[in-house]
Amino acid sequence: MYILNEASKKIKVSLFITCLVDILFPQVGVSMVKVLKRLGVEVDFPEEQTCCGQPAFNSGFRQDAKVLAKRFISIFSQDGFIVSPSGSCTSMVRVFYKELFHDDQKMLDVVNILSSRTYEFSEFLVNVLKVDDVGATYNGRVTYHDSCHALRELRVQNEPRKLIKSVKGVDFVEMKFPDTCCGFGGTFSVKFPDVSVSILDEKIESIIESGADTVVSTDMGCLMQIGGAINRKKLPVKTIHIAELLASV
Amino acid sequence: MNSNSREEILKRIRRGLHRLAIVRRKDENISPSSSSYKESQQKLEKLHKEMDERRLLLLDMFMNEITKVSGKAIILKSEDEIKDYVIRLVEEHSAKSLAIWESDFLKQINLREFLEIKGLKFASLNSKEEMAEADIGITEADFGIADTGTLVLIANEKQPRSVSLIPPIHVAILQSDVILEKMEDVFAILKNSLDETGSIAKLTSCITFITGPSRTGDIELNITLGVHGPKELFVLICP
Amino acid sequence: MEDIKVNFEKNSATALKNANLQRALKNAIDQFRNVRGKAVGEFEEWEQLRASARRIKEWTIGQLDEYLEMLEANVIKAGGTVHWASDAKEACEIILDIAKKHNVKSVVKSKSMATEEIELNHSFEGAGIKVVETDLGEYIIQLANERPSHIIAPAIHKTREDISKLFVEKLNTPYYKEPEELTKIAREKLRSEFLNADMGVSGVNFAVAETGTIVVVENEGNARFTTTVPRIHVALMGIEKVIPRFEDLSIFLNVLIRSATGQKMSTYVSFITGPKRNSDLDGPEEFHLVIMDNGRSKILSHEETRESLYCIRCGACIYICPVYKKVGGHSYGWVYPGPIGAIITPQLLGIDKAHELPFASSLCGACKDVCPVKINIPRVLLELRSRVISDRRVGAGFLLRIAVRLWRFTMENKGIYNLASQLSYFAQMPWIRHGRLTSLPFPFSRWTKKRDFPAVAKTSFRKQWNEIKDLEG
Repeated sequence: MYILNEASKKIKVSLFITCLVDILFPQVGVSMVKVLKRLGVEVDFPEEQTCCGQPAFNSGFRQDAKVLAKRFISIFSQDGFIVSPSGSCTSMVRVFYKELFHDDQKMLDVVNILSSRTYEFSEFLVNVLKVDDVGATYNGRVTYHDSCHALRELRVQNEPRKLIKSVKGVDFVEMKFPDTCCGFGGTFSVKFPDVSVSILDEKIESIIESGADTVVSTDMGCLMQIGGAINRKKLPVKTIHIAELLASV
Repeated sequence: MNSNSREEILKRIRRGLHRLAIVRRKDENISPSSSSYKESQQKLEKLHKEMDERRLLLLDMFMNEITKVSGKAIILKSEDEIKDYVIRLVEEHSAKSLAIWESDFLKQINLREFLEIKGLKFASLNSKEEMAEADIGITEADFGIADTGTLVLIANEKQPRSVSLIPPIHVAILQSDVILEKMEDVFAILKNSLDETGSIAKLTSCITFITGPSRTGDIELNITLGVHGPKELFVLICP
Repeated sequence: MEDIKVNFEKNSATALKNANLQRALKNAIDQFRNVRGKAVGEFEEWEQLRASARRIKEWTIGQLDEYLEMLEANVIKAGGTVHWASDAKEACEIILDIAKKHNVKSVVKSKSMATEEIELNHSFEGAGIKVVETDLGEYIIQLANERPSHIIAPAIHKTREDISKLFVEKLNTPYYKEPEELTKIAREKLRSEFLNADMGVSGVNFAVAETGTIVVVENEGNARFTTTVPRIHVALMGIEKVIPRFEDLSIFLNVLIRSATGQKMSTYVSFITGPKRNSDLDGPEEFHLVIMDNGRSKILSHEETRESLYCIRCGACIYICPVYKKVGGHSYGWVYPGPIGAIITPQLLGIDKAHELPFASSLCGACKDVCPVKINIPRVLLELRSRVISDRRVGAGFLLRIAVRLWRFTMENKGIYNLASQLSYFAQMPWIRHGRLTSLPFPFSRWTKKRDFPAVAKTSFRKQWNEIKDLEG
């Protein structure tokens, strides 16, 4: 049974959908909306949004990143929470915007407030809405991959696991070293593809060893990397985002 | 040339830290967790008291830890037991030549004389060639650290460093009333044998912490004992 | 040092194809992770200790000039001599000078990354002075004429078979495969070196300003030999190695040893204050401390990357790095491998000499979490990436700049973004196989060579929003 918090009728969420989900994995966004609505949250989508600027920041193009960051900040200026289906993009806003504007006190003040409103999807459900069981059903042997940013920048580790274990029909297994990088690292995956794939191979080995038929994560970047190899090797494993898992009934 | 470099380096550091003038900081504020001389004296007293009250517990801890690092610790109850044990070791290892400290406790129990009577030769302590021929090195330990099974050896005119280093077997006599719990405790005692101005006159040329026999993991991270230092360590603990 | 240029792409490609290396790395690293996990896990105060260590380093580096002066004064008080070297060349000159003045014919060395930095052995050999590495791992790579591939276990990339073959070739010994036998050979060979050397050169793990004490941490006993038997002891340290007080050692020894080898305490820790006293029966007659800058003051002057100097050279970040595990130490092209190498090599050699290194990371942050002094390595890497891009000598390639400009323009304009999104849906058509993209033209081929790429969705999320926004829960 899922808990409907009467108070959440007042909770407003602006969706920070991320360009990756918007263009490549829209079903993740749709799932997120379904789950949030099921929990009685008021959801809105600021249509001007495009990108938070992380790819530029990670590649060393700080000026370009700043431009997109300022744009993001002005688009998400209203009240309420900002929730994203990506630990990586959430980290950019919550952690690295402070880095980007570290020598600009005025921007820093704005960014600090913005940070306090910005959440990754699974931590929002567990820590803000105080919900573990969202009434989902999924039959399968599920393992969870910790995305590096979610784990080490946002300290999101228990929340997704709590949510997964509460899904009816799920047989949860922990893979060996779930917190080891999958080798994606954004542009790293194409800048040093051989190293990236070599790291990925070890992750795939862990997944196979775990006996799971489904891999879940908070980040489509990781799942794109993992799924990319799984598909190439034609392995009997599905990759789904945690929002998709929680939306299934 | 050299004194120029000194000035250059210090200048670069100061510039890098945006320090325009040398600001002399008070010694008490030297770093975040400073304590005054008085506080450390008080701590010393407390330590000595603890050592006394917790003697058995610390001994137990020490025995446990040293075994974990492949050291062999034996509790002996008298001078005679010590001498007998040393003789046993000499026989088991067919030792012909020994090296021994001229330190207080070893002198007190006349260990060297006892062994000389048994026909054993002793290496001259300032000859590295003779030291290299010695089969067993016998020392005391100035302190023991229970937490890690560590021996603390302070070098001075009666306690040369090589005796616990060059011979392949090291025998250390440790009195149970100098076993402390942690490394911090040893530092507190050592530090406070300095005077109030922090003079290092009493901090000797070398203090060595020894925790078990010599080892390496450099080949495939596989642990092997007796690389350069002693291959075997015996700690004879007496009251 | 000036003519070094790091080629990570090339080096890593070679490393990935070396099956022997891959096996050696995996074996050593999996083992180490287990051991370290236990050493840190059992220690409840670990996080507190890390915080204290960081605080002390921040403080000390913030007053570095004062602490170095204090250190110098106390070393001199204890009867030692202090030398200051601005760079590698000067450090070598100073040490060679000491050797020549004292008619030194042979030198024994214990492990010191600083001496690798300045290529000291090369200088000794050039002057006709014999120098022998005495740390077993360093001895092995000296025989193999290689650079160390890890700062704590320099020969980690070699299997026992590699080492046996090396000993047979260089030392004329029979073929022994077991580590015990190999170690015995090294012990015998090195003993006579120790006893006959005129000078011992060591590194410095920590230098205590308050007492003028240098601390050397080890397991083998070779550093004890190096700093006890020869009549002259020279210790080389980077300016950042100084710590304020004697008691700070309890924090630093704890975090260093547990991080470096997973032990509670290393076999030997030597606290050396000056040369032997007149009444001592052994110990060196002279003690020389060489304090070296070699680019560290430059790092100090950049507040954003200053924390690179807090490093205590434990090697934990190297062990935990998923990139290092695949490419090994030599890929990093210089003395320091792994995450710490990726941040200090560009800063010490010059960003143009090692511009790939800040990018040779997936930014996973595992290093940040294990660092005993809490250096935020990913943050420093990101800062260095931006320095590479704005550096006139390297910068970004012309094409990349155009691509980034275009990309940014797209992201700044919702209309263009939507158009691009639409266009990419159609553009991918020729390459769609079973709903996925299995091979794409350059530069996307860099992805699709070994992985499938997802297809652009027919209807983007924002297009679907209008339908779903009024849905009930």
